[in-house]
Amino acid sequence: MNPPRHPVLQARGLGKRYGELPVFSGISLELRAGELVALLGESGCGKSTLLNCLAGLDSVEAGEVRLLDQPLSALPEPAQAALRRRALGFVFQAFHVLPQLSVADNVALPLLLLGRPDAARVQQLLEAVGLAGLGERAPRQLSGGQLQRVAIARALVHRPALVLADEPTGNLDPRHAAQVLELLRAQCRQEGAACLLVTHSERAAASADRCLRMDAEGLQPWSPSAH
Amino acid sequence: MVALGPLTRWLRALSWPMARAQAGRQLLALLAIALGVALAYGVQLLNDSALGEFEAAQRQLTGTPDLVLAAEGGGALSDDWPARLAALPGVQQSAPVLEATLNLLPGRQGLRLLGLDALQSAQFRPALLPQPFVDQAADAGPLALLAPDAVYLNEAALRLLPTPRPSHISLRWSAQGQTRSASLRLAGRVEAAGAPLAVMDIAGAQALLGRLGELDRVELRLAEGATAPPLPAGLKAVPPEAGRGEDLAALSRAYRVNLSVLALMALFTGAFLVFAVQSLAAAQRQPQLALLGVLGLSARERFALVLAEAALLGLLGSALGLLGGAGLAALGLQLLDGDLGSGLLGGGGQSRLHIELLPLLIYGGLGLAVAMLGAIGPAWQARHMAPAQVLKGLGAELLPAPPVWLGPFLLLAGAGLAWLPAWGGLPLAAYLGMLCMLLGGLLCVPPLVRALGALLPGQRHAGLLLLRQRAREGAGEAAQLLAGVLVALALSVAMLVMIYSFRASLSQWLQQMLPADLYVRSALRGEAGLRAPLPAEFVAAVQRSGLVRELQPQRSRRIALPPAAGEAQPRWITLLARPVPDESRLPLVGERASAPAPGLQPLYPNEALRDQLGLQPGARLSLPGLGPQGQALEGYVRAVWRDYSRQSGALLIPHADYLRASGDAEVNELYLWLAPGAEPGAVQAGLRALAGEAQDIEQVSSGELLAISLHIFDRSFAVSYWLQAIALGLGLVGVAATLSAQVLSRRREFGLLRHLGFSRAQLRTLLLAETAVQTTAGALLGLGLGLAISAVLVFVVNPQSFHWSMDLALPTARLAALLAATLAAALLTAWLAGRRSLGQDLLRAVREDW
Repeated sequence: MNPPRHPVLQARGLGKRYGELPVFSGISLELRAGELVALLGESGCGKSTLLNCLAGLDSVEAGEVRLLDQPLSALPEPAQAALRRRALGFVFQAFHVLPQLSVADNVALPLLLLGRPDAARVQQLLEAVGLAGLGERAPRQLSGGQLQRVAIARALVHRPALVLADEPTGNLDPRHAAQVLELLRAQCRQEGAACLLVTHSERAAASADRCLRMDAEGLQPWSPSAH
Repeated sequence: MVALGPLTRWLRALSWPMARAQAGRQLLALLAIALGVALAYGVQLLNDSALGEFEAAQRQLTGTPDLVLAAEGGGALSDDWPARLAALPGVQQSAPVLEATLNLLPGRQGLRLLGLDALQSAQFRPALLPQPFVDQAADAGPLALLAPDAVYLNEAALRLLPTPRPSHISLRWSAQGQTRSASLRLAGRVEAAGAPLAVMDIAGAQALLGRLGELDRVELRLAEGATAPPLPAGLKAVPPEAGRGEDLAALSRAYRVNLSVLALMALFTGAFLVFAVQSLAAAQRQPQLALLGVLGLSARERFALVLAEAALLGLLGSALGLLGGAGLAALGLQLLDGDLGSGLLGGGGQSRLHIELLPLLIYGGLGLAVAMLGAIGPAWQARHMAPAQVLKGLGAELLPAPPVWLGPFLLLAGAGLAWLPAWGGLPLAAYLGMLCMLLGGLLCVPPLVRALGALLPGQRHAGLLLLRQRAREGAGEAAQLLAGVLVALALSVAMLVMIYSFRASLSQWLQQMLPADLYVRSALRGEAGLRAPLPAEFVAAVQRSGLVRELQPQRSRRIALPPAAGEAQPRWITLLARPVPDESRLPLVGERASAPAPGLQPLYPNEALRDQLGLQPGARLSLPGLGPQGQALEGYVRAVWRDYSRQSGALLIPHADYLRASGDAEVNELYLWLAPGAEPGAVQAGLRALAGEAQDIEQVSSGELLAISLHIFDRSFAVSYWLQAIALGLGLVGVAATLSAQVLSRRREFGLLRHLGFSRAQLRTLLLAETAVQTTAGALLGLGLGLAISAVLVFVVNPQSFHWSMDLALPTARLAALLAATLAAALLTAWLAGRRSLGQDLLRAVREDW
């Protein structure tokens, strides 16, 4: 295993509530470049909300999120968006590809938003996720597994420092799920990106560098071998 | 501020594929903007072109004299004045003018004749320089222009002649109570545009008109830098004729503004269609915009992107609309006069398009503004969405619902604004009031839909339960669905009621003003181009003939009222002297006053004169200079009468009082009642025989006059029916587009219902029933709003625009038909849209990503 490198994401003492309802509190977390961390927990414990807070898509009532050493949670919305555009990649349970764009254009989307179109890089990613030759197809012509590969390619095409994956295999059968996880891990390693993987699957978590379990107490280290 | 570079890139890479995917709906929005701009700009351009042409012709006729002088008392000038004036210091040139209006035979069309000193006038009126025909030029010596029998016509006058062009023209006219005829040699043409015009040498004109040694005015050109000399006694300066164009522009302005407002209403209806299309497209795109938000498109950038898309749509729609408007105007100039058939500009001459930058920018800008306004709501939603929530399918940010009091408040505010007085002679406050009423009505749609839904029983039947729930939850969307059709229906109802009321009032007015069986007037022109009086011997012969049971004379002439306080010029009005045996047969409005002092004669100003002079019943009014010795008549305003034949001031006076005060026994029109059993055709033939030259008189029966008047009325309003149809069509297109989009956005819901056992037919019925609830609410509101707006049109807009009051009359059968047709069309549209949208694979929609 490669030694951990510089911290990409640092969260300190995060607290979040919806009105009177507390979602989580006192959450601290650090991810380093190239590291794959799995986050497990029961439904409704706040995993996705935490992910949104880490991405600056949701606000926190307490604590601080630093992304690439910048205080993401304290930045104004346009600066948050700009930092997210540059430094984050996302993979969702639902694939969320734009139906009116081709597969290649979907993958190219983050580069387009950054104003750095790069067809060669898009082709490179498509080949890497096993979709070479399918770039001109419409999303509706692909299977679920293929669509998630498109999402992974899109998450990595702009070389983000951190990929946030929210149950990326939730809509896939076990065989395809395993393939997609392996692909995500391999690509993150290859690109040097850290990855925070939210999952219900202990099997999926087993492939991570380390695992965290989220519950009412906060985040606890968790080991699949111990369960 | 979002940089233009990235925005352009995003538009190309993100918006363009989206627009292509929704090509049909985007095209509809584009069409709505283009159509609205085209109609509004077309009406404006058509009128601008006609007015521009008229004013250009006026400028050509008037040239650029520095000073125009006429006799102080209004009579003729002696023809030694030009030489005397030329000798004054600072005067460079002085040119005499003699003018008359004659009738060109055989058609007896009016022909304006100018007698000029060609050599002097041509210096500053080149368009009036006589140009011999090419085939006569060789024979024409340098003095040919001065030949006393030679006349030169402009293009409009030449078009009245038969082909091949005759060598001579025949003229007929009336002067000093005598009918005269003459034949002149057609020697060439003049360039002047506009209405039919003839030019001849002043000496020839004086001889022709029997006015030797007389002039009507003298035009002066001053030396460079010279100031106007002091005016010799007996002369006064008069404004150049160009002012007449301004008068006509003012006269036709109200008509044009009304038509333009109607056209803008079509654009306004289009705006709701744009809003519906944009907001539903944005609703469909919310997850996609949310994804872009997650990937790093900031809230401001999403806002800018949606607005930029709308701006592009608006620019394209405006450009198409301006092109279409120019095309419509060109077509209109070919088919109608520039006044759209109202007759206000009098036709004559072929108009060309007068395209100016400012209206182009204004109407283009309106199209852009409409598109942008329609997109503000969706852009706001895109800006304020929580991307992560939307991606999870946990609902999008809804536009904040307006407070419940806003709808009723706008309705009340609109009603209040509608009764404010005119601004600058235009009912702008009333228009603003109508806009407030429409917006207020739209805001009242959701509560009305909820109220209608609550009336449905819905506890035991799944369909009814869904219907009730939909009425409650989807009431906000109903306003979007119905916006276009509600506005269009309200405006159509308003126009229908206003036109029906106007027509009914006009019909009644005609019957009151034209009680006789037959009317006779001169076909010839006389003083100041007005209809000549009938020859006295003809009137006497008719009285003696026994052809008619009863005869009443009418005298009409222009008189000058003394300048009002703060005015320099006297106010010219039309005076109508006719017998008033029974006041109740006059179309009087408002109260009748008794004489404030003994010896005052009763006078009846029309509504325009009442408004101009602020006259009220009981006010005293003096009419100076009625007779040749300057006799005056002292009178009082007995009552105000309704006058649909003119928008300018007119005063009606009992004929006997007029005759006594003025001694003027001339008669312009005869009102004739036939003896019982008399054959109208035989009486008309008898009258023609009495006239000597049969074509010098015009006869028309009351039935014909009624038919002609109503035909002209219908022609004037034909354009408005088309505009109503277009507005309604746009509204229905809006229903189709909105409903299709709503069905598409509810495909998961419908798919789930299919899973639960609903058949396609049941879904279609459900959709149709939902639409029925919504359109019923819209139709009821549209009807109510339309009636309110019609009251504003009848009681405020028309009196303020034209000085015409009228009585409100409801065409109940037509209103019911319009309502039924709109409801049926909306339901048919809903059924077709539902059939198409529900025909797609709904079962798959449940599993779809989005």
